[in-house]
Amino acid sequence: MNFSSKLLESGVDALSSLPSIGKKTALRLALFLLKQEPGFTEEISNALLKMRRNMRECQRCHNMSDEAICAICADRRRDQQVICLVESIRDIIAIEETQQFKGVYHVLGGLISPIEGVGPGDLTIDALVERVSTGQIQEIIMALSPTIEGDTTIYYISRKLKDLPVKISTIARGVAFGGDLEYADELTLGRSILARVPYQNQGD
Amino acid sequence: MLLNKPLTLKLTQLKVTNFRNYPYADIHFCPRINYFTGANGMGKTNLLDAIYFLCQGKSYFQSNDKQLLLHGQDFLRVEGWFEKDEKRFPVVVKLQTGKKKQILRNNQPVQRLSDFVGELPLVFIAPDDTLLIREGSEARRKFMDSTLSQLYRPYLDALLAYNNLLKQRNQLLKMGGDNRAPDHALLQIYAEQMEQPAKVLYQHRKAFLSAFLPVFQDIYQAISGGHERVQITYQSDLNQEEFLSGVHKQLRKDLILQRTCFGVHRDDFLLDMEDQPVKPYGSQGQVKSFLISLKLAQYHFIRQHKNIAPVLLLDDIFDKLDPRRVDQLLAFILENQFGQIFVTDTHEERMAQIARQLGEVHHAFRVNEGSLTQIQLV
Ligand SMILES: Nc1ncnc2c1ncn2[C@@H]1O[C@H](COP(=O)(O)OP(=O)(O)OP(=O)(O)O)[C@@H](O)[C@H]1O
Ligand SMILES: [Mg+2]
Ligand SMILES: [Zn+2]
Repeated sequence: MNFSSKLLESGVDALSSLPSIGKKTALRLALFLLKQEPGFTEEISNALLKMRRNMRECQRCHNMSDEAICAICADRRRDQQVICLVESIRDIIAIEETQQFKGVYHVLGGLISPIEGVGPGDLTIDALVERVSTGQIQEIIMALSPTIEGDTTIYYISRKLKDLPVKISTIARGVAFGGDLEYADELTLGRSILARVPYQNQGD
Repeated sequence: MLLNKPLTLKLTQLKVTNFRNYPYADIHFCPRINYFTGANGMGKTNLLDAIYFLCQGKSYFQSNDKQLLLHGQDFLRVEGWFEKDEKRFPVVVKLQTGKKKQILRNNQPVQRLSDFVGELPLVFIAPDDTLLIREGSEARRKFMDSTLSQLYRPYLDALLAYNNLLKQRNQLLKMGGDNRAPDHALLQIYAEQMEQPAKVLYQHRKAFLSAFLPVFQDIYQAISGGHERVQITYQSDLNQEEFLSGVHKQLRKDLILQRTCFGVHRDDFLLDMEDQPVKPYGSQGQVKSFLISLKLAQYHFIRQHKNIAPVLLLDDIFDKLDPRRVDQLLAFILENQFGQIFVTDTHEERMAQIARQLGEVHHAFRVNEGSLTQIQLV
């Protein structure tokens, strides 16, 4: 793309550095912003800056949080004894949409995959074990994606939790969703969390 | 070997754009035999590869799809019209730089390659395939894997799972190194996850070889005129020991070598002729006969399982065979319903001779620098 303005060019470049925004879309957005009052762009920029600067990670579940403890963990009405283990924050959003789950979460931060340089130490597994061994956790629902990496991760964590008095279950896996939890439609996801099954610890 | 009239897969028309040295070609094929002749480097093999690409969604020779683009072009397209079970349908494979490869079957996008593979069965016999015999065990495993994957979906699933887990485990072993020991619990978990697919692969390979061997031997006898005794033996770590205990015993070695030293990824199929390994001792013609027999046996099993005669691609296969073996091979092809066949040969005369001998309806084409002209063989 050929710009007559360096200012426009760098604005478009900045926008198009965002995922799933190509040059064309970026140009459309930039031209839109230029049509509005300067205050409009300021508001957006400030909101983004504020979000980026002040966002914290929940000390308990590693969810995104405004405070040291996130709104879900802090909610007294939720069952603090049931943890739903998810790969990322996006999964929390998907599951919350279903309004079927009344427990709390733990965000793993990924799946074990040495090929992608992710070992157990890169995930919040130790924090989870710590949480289970000190708290009154009764059940962990493993809501990880139905892939080989998901299997390995579940298997590994259930080994780590083997000697702790906690029930481990998995959501009905490999049904009705095409890979990632994120894409599961809300109904199936809600149903599969309700219809969870006890995890069969292979090998023991 | 004769079967109760299986269906035949037929490719009736092929259109290629920017595939290797073909800028554009649009050809109608004969439902029986199609001959291609032309000098070295003219594009005979490339044309067969375009057919393979269409049926399997990937090249027979190149794992990097980009290499298939005609030099200087940024997209390619291969379209074919197939007939199967009295149904006629198009398949299109499209590739564009920067985009995902797209396969359309009957105008519907194919989501996963593994769902497509096996739909349009074909067997390719290429000169370089003698590497199957001359190279290390990997080529032979690949041959068995590709055969079994086409026949049994659970085999393909087990193979994908096993390979994925093996890669993870090997990477984990490498991540250890230096002073840091890799996570032993995780190593063990990978081994346990690999156990089930390993068993599936082992049992299928073992059972398949015992069915495959007599068919292969019959074909070899037919082609060679009963000259040499041939044998295939399945060699596997699992012949001696259970998977988990085997892996466990090798753990120290795994840690030192930073790879998994026990398992079905080390399997081999030993090829013998007159009780000697074919590899160092077989002559070129013998190796070629061995190879052709392996492939035709593969054809037999695919046809039997799918109840459809696959497309057969024969690239330069008469080279290095003495006239008697050529005759015997042709007689064998005539006796066994091989469906639609594509044959290449650099010698136009030899090809005309073969066409006369087979006496079947055919089309013949002369290939010249990426373009095709239909000819009459005389
Ligand atoms: N991506 C590509 N773009 C353009 N030309 C290509 C490409 N890939 C291969 N070629 C050319 O195609 C030719 C090889 O064609 P092919 O292997 O089909 O020949 P052939 O007719 O089978 O010859 P032979 O008789 O030696 O086996 C070579 O000249 C090679 O440079
Ligand atoms: Mg060739
Ligand atoms: Zn929290």
